[in-house]
Amino acid sequence: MRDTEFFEKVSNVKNKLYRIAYPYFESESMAVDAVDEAIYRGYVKRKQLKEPEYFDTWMVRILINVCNTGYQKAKRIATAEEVPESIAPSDIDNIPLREALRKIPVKYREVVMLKYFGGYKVAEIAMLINVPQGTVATRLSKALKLLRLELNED
Amino acid sequence: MDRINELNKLMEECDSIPKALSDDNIIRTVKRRAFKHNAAKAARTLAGTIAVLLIVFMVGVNTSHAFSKAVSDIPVLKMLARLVSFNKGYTDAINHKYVTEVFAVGEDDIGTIYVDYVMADERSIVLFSNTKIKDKSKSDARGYFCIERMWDTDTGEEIEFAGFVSMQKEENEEYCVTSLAWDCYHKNVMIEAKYYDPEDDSQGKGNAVICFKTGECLETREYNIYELIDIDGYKYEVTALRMYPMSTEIDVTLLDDVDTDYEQTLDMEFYLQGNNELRKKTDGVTAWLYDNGHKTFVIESGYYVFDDEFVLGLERVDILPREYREVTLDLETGVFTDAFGIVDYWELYDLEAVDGQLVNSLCIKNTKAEEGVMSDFLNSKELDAVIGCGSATDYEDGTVFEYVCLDKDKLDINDGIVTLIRDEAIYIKHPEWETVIR
Repeated sequence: MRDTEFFEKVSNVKNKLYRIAYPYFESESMAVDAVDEAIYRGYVKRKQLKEPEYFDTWMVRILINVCNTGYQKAKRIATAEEVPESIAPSDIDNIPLREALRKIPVKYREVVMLKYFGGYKVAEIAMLINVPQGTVATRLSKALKLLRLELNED
Repeated sequence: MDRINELNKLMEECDSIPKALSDDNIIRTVKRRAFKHNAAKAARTLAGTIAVLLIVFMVGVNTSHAFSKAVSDIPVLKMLARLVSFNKGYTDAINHKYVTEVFAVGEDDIGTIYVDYVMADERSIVLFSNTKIKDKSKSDARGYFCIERMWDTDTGEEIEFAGFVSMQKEENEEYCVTSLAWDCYHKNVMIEAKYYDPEDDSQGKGNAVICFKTGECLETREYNIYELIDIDGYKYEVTALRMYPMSTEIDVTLLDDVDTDYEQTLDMEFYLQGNNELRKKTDGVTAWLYDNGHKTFVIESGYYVFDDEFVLGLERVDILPREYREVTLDLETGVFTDAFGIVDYWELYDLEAVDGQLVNSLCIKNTKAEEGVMSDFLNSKELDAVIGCGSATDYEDGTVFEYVCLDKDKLDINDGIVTLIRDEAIYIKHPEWETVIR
């Protein structure tokens, strides 16, 4: 893939990348850093993408990896604690949604981000994070319960 | 505020995209990082070869009558040839006057750039430039212009390029040499350069623009080869050789690594042998031609070295089999292990660990790494974590070893086990393969 083609495709997908990254972090600048990092990694590896029609999916996958690892680092800096999987919804009832999102386990957080901020369907999320559709649906349901979000999961 | 409203508000915030993610900013940020990465890679390779090439260049001056006559007759060419003595292909090209006088000037608020000479072919462009900074207080500083972007002024298309983008000359030299790889030859070129001040970490300043013609480009000489090489079960196909005025490219398919996510062949060292000349590979700026299973190796010699017939040979192949890639370190015992047992030539060096937990960094000493070659025995993932590396001497036995120190926050550590991905050859083969090119 040539440079011009790569940056054209990036231009089309960058808003979606930012929307997914933003809720992961506490600041706009960290979200921008994460998107920048994902684009850079994509640029370096652009010749490994054999099927350009999957460019958006591929970039989102890179971004998820960046956010998950970046989040781990940010979490240490902020000394925020991720709640254990056995946590009850009542434990995060009284905190703002943006903070609650950062506290739920990564596997629940990423499906929420992809569904509500990335605009992906369950089947697409399954492909993005490489798990069965049923697992995505279960994680989404659990995440929404934890967050006390009464939304339609479809 | 209820949860639905909170979610809606958060989604609204995401719709406001920061200026930092404008297309121009993204392109500049990404390309600058890629250039720095390529330059660092190239520097590691060149550092090991420059000293050898300088010696070869001196031998050339003293023994080749044609060479020494040409450079001594024309002082400018002599001076330019000295500046590019790190690359024999460039030196040969200048020796044969394959250089164009440009005398182009670009100016902005920061200073003036003078591009006096250019060499260009289908694969490379080499600029000889000078800069003057307007602010006299900065004249002693180590700030410098860097080439940011390049356009073909005939088509208006932006040109892709890679390499050392700095226009910073060495002290007491007449010109800075900026050598870049590009995707094809361009006759009319416009360059945009910005000034970088090392004491100011912000983005580049100013915007100097220079336009010039690159001169006539000689056609590419292409030879189809299609020869299979089998080295202890590892198979390769040498498919083509292309000769340009300043360099030669060899296309190789690593048959065991095509469409895999990992290449087992780390490096191949080809050479060209003529009647009185032997030329070996160079590396660095061609990394962008990289694709898994398909490699293009560059030898720094072009049109001007060989006549009708010469030999292409393969001197060395470095192989890291897939199963040797992963090395783990047990922080309790300090022992490095791969799939085949203990890696006894990797040792902990100045380990900062308390109760099996790393404090700040992990330093690894490699007693088998080649002296003078930067600590390159870990792959790029680990190189991102490097906070220091170099050579040191063992005070007890006087041996020199390489070491690398890694930021613990960037390592994969689980239950006291550090997982590292190695990038050093397990087997170094000398296949003695040669073919005659006519």
